[in-house]
Order: sequence, then C-alpha cells, then structure tokens
Amino acid sequence: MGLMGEQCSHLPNAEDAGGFQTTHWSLVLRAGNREDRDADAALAALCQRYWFPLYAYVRRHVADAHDAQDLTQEFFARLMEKHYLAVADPQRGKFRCFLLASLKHFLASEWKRGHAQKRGGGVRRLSLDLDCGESRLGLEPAHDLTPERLFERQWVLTLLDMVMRRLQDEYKSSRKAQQFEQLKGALTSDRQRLPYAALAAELKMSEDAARQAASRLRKRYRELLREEVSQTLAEPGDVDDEIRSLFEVLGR
Amino acid sequence: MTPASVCPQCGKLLSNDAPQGLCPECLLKAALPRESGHEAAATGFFDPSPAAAIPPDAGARVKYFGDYELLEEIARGGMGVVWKARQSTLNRDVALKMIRAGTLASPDEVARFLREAEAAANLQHPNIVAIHEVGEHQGHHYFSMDLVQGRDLGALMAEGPLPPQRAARYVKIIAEAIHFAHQRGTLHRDLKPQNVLIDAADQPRITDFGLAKIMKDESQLTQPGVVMGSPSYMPPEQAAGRHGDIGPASDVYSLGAMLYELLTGQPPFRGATAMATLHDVMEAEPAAPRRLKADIPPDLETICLKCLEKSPSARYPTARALAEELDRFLKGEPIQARPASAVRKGVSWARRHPGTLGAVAVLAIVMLAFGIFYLFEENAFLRAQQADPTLARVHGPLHESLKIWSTVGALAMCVGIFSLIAVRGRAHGLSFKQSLSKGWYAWPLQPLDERTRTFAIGAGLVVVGCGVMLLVKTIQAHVWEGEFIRSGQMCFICCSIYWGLATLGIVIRDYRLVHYGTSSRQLTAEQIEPIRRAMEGYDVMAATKRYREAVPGAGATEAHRYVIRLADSLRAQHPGKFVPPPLSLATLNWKVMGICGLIEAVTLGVLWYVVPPSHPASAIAQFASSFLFGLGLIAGGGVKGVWKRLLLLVPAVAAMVLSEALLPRLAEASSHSPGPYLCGFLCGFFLMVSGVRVRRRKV
Repeated sequence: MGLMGEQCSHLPNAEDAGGFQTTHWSLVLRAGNREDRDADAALAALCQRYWFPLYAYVRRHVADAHDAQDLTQEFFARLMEKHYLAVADPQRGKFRCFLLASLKHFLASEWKRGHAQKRGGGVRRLSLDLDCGESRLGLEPAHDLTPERLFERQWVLTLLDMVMRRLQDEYKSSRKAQQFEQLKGALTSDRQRLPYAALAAELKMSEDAARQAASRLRKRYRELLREEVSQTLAEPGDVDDEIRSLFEVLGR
Repeated sequence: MTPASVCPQCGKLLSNDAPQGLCPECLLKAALPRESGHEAAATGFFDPSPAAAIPPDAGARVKYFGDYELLEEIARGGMGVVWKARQSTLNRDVALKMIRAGTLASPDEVARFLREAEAAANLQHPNIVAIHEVGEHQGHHYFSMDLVQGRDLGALMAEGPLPPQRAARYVKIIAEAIHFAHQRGTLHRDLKPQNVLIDAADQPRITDFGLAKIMKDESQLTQPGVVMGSPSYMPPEQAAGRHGDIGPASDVYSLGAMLYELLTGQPPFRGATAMATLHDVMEAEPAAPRRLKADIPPDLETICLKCLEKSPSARYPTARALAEELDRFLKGEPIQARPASAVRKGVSWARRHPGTLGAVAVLAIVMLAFGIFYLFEENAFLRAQQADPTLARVHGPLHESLKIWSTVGALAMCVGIFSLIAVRGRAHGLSFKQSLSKGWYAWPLQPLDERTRTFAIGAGLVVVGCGVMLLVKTIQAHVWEGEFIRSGQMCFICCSIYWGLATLGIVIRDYRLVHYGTSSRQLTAEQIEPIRRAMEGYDVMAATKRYREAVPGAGATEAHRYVIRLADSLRAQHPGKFVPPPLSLATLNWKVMGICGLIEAVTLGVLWYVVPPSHPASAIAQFASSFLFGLGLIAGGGVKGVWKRLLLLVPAVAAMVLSEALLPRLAEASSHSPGPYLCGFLCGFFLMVSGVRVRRRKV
C-alpha cells in the first residue's frame, strides 16, 4: 500500500526519501555552493512545499499583496541561486530556521534597496500559486501573532496539510478513499472513544478489521509525518525534537 | 471567521485552516513516539504537558489498576494524569494520579513524583487534598487521594471575576492552608487557580504539589537557573531562577497573583509568549487592580499589591500574615498594610512609563546643566571684570559667531523635523505623505532597517548637538557681550533638541519592540466584531470605547494598544483601503486653532494692559509667531487628545509673556530676525497637516 501511494504521489521527489539515506535538506547543505543537480532539485522541492509560511511572514511586513508576492518570488530566486547557503549560520540545522533567518536577512536588505526597484529580471522563478496564498491568508482569523509566530504556525499547518494530503492520495489510489474519510478521526482521538462498531458498519467490515485499519492508518501517518519532517533537517536523528518544537509552536 | 468546530480530543477550537478538519496539535501528538515521552517531560521548559507524549490509550490498558477501577480521566498536569477511580476493597471513589510516562518514567521523574506524594502526604489539613496511598502497580507509580467533587478555581474564574469578598475569603483559606504546609517544611511553588479545587461545601482545597519543595532538603531536583511553573503566577525570584531566594514569601506572591486574578479576571502579567511574561514578571509593575475594575475595595488592592512586590522582603513575611490581613479586611477592621507611599508609587509609575520618565529626566538634566553653565560663565565674567574694571558687555567676536550658530541652529531644526518625520514614517511603514497625516500612529510598528537606524542615530545626535552648541553660544554671548536672548534662537534650540531626541527615542522604541514585542489578551470573534466595525472608519477613540465595553475590566491603555494592533491586522488584510485623503481646508482642525487663538488673544490683551508694547506692529508680530508656535507644539507633539494638546500651549504662552515682560526690547530685535517667521512657517505647516484626518477610501 505504501509503495503504491508513493508512486502515485504528485509531490516532486517524494520517492527520493526512501531511496537515499540522505534527506533533502542535508543533501542541499552538503552540496553547498557547488553545482549539484540533485541538491538543486531537492532545494526546489523544499521551496515548493514551504513557500506559504514565508509568504504569510512577508505579508505581515508589506502592505501590498503584489509587493509581498514579488518579494517572496524574489527571495526564492535568490535562494535558488544559493546566495544564502554561503552564509555560515548556526541555525542551518533546520530548514525551517534557516529559511526564516535568510528571509529576515533578505527583507532587511530589500528595505535598504527600496521596494520600487524592478525585480526578477533574468532569474529563475518558481511557479508558486501566490494568489491562492492571498485567499488562504484572507481566511486567517484576525490574530495577534507576531510575524515570526505566524510563520512558524503556518509552517506546522503546511506540513500537516501536506502529510494528510499524501495520506489521502495513498488511500485514494488504493481505492480506500471512504476508509480514509471515516477513519481519519482516529488520528486525533483516543482509541476507546472511537465508535468502532458504527464505523465498521459504515465501512461494511468487522469491528476488529476497523480497529486494524485505524491502526494501519495511524502507523502510515506517523511514517509519512516523520519522513516529511526529516526532509527539513540536517540530522535525521532530530525528528522527535523537531516534532516536539513544532508542537510547542502551536501551543504558544 | 467563526471557528468551524471543536476538537473532540483536546476541546480546542479548530480554525478554518486545520488540515483535513483535524486538530493540528493532536495530529502532531499522534506522531510522537511513545518511548520518548519521558524525555519530553524532562526537557520541557515550562509546563511540559503539550510536549509530553502520553499514549492516548493508556487508560485502555490499565482499566483495572490493582485495587482500583479507573472510571474517567479528570485532569492532566505537567507530569501526571489524574483519574477518577473506584477503590474496590473500600468501595469508595478516589482520585488516582499516575505518571504520564508510565513504566517509561525516568528515575528522576519517579523521584519527583514520589516527592510530590511525600510532600502532600505529610499534610493533613481540611483544605489540602489528602493522600491515601502511594504505590506501584506493574511498573506504574501512583498515589490515591481524596476525590473532590467540584470545579477548580480556574474553571470558576472562566465565568468572570469573583466578588471581592468571596475572592478574599477563598484566598484567606488557601493562605492558612499554605501556612500549615510551610510550617511542615513544604513550599508549594506552583500555586495557581487551576490547582485549587472548590468542593461541594464551597471550600477551597489545594492540590498538585508536583513542584513542591521540601525546605532544608539539599537534594535539588530542580537545577539552578531552570525555570519551572506557570509564568503568570511565578514570583520574580523563581522566574529569574534564583532558587536560593525562594521561601514562604514566594508562595505569598503566588497567592497575591491568584487574588489578583480572582479580583480582576486576569493574572497580573500575561505576555504574548512565556518569555515575554517572564520578562514582565521580573521587570514590570502590575496594573493597579482598581484601574482594571473600579469596584474593588482599596484595602484589598493594597493587600494584593503588597503580595506582588518584587522583593520578597517587601511582601507579607508568611502566608499566615496574609491570612490575618485578609481576615481583618473581611471583618471590616483596618488593615495593617499601608497603601504604597507616594515615593513607592512614583517609583512604580516610573517603571511603567520609562518614556515619559526619560523625557522628564533628560529635560531636567539639560536645564540643570545649562543653569550651572550659565552661573559658571557669569562667575567667570565677574571675576574677569574684577581683574579688569574696564571690561563691559559690548558686542564682540561672540556676537559674530552667534550669528553663524543661529543659522546652523535653524538648519538643524529643519533637518530635525524632517528626519523625525522620515524615521517615524519608516518605523510605521508609511510613505512620507502618509506619515504627515493625523492617524500615523494607528499604523503598525515594524522593525527599522539597518540604514534607517544608522541615519536616525546620526541625525538625532547631530541635531541635538547643534541645538546644544547654539544654547552654549547664546549663553556665552549673553553673559560676556550682553547679547539679548532672542525668541527665534530659543525656538531653534528647543525645537532641534526636542526633535533630535524624539528621533533617538524612535530608535530606542524600535529596540524594545524587536526585543520584547507586545502583550496581548485573546478576544472572541463576537467581542472583536464591534471594535472592528468602529475601526472600519479608523475611529480609534470609538474603537477603544467599544473594546472597554466588550471586555469589562479592561484599562484604557490596554484598550488603546489592542485597537492599534487591530488596526495592524485590518491593514494587513485590506491593504489600500486606508489611505489619507488629500489635504484641504475643510479638513483642518478649526476647533483647536480657535481655542489656541483665543488663549493667545487673551494673553495679548492682558500683556497689553500690563506692559504696553513699543509698537502695535511688533505686538502683532509677537502674537502671530507665538500663535503659530503654539499650534505647532500642539500639532507636532505627537500628543493625542485635545486637552493634553492644549496643555502644550502653556510653554508657548509662557514664552510670549517672558519675551514681552522681561525683554522689552526684543520686539524691535525680533523684527530684524527671520527666526520667528521661519518657525511660524514650519509650525503652520504642521498645523495644516495635523488637521487632516485619515478616512476610509470608498470601495
């Protein structure tokens, strides 16, 4: 099941994770400034996934949506040219921290140059669905988060959203979309609280089978999340710590 | 904007962006491996509960726990989970507390858990939840205690502040129980409303001795510098990690914090982050409870604030002393604690208004320094005159250099005001034109970039320096060559020093903003709605009023800060909607201009009667220039509120009186000097732009 899911995943380079020992971010870091096609692709994949939290951060600093979109694009263009990878930074261990630190650096230098300057000439651009980002931001409740905390919160939500989507896609591709819809509540609920009998009836299976299916879903979810998190870390061993710190982000 | 649903697991509201409609926190929790649970609890900084992974099905496996049948989960704390359980042999209901990490608990955790049991087991008191049995079952450490039927004080508080008498009664009883614990050598160290249960007889009972410390116990389970507990109720010595200073007075502080929250509905300090709260606990003074809620008796406020003193020695020495004091209050007897003295209040006020204090201090120091300088020069002149009796105060080289410095001062003043506007605009993220408008302060602050910061520091220092130099030259010329002090020069000096310091002040504010952020209170969507509507028209005053209506007990400062932050988020969501309208005569602030003119006219009338002017034209010139100067002070002072602004007129009137009465020849002198006119022009300019209001563009 898992294998099929990965093949069907629409996310770029999703299959790399199983194949290579190195994770995306450690690959990028190791390549440094050198030309390395794998590392470039890995960086692009990471950026594609995590642009929204950055956009949310920029949007809190910039009055105009177009300016914010331009700035985000420009930032990614610079990132792809690996301007920031050269900067020695103790926070490079986590892609999340590296991104925020680089973005702050970038914004400060952009403010210096003035916003009016024309941007993006001749540089490689990622196709980011920025208008979708604006509408997503419009749904945000009015909160008092500082830009940093907004960034971190959006990061966690983006990550979880991505994992859930992958999980959903996997179930869809193995024609178990209904099972996913019914059982996804099991991911966040106590086992004894779930009405397995009702769920089993709904899914036309025995109660034991429903329990097992829920347990498989939990297991797969855990795998996917840990894999996704490990992609953003230089040291794959830090996954637990990172999940814990992501948890704290939400709790704050 | 309304939250769609509630997480069935943790009961939190789910926002629209929750992935697949599931609670993100529970999702993350589900991904944490079980065996790492004890690590999380050991490394957690504050209440480690969210990070610690307890398998959600722990109860399923231990439904029967030795002699106990687990009925339902009551609470989860930092380390343990509490179950309602039935003890089969004795056929009674008890509360059973277990370590969350279960069999995987580290020896340290077990030691701390047993310490809690030990701490509470030694305390047989009607207002402390009693421990029945401590034990271990299949590797799970547990202890059983009284099952208290009722709610905790935190839940009771959720309905709003308690009546003062009731709050005082609760805290008095809790303080007595805590004193009992202190006498037996136990400090609670984590007193908060959530750790006080109110039983069926409406008696408070203390629980959760999870952080308790046995006094005189050398084995430290908490390392120095490690902060544990709930930031909002934590005494400063605990927040600072000074474990050596923790004693009975620390629990007195927490009792005070609890009393404060019971009375006002909010803890004394609550920042946006735990770090900000800790900072406030150590540095800030709590807002007086009566400012948040006017019907709190003054005596109770005095008692509460005495408990919250930063220095342990300034608080009640024991919990018993606090209980006795509350008892006196409840009986209507005079209390022993005196309200803070004027000096103490002054110090406390100064800590809360560092900006104003800084401004006054700088003004005082500057005036003192120049007073001394003046006397010094005068003394030097007199000595020189003694040595050489022919020395007279006639025009000489100082007069010439003063002319040059006057020009420099005028330039510095112009540079000062424009750099102030530019830097202020940058600090609020505005264009130059927007930053001239009246509503500039409603825009959010954003960090300055490096170049602006450097420019602000440079320009501020240069402008202040020029102002100071001009003042020095003026005093010297006045003392040695009998030069008149002209109003134009005074204007250059005051304006350049003031505007230069204001520019430097922005840099300081920027530093504080970047380092400490702002504190916040969470409002529901329904509470926000009327405020948002008021803000649609960018009416700050109305929105502030709405906030105070929506949040009973909110102070004016808090309301104003909240409204400003709301303006921030509104602007972020709807950029382009809020732009200043073009300048026009119709939008001028005629009211302020009229009142200002009236005051000046009355002053002139009185002056005319007392000291007839040498020439009507010079009187008119004086009137015009000081009228504009006064308006400029009102407009450019950055002061909000008509009456506060009008107060600023006092120096303008005083300047006019002084110049007319004390320097009668000034009128003739000033007719040759462009100073008043330049100053008048600048002030008039700011008056014009200050009269403009920001309006919402029609969409």
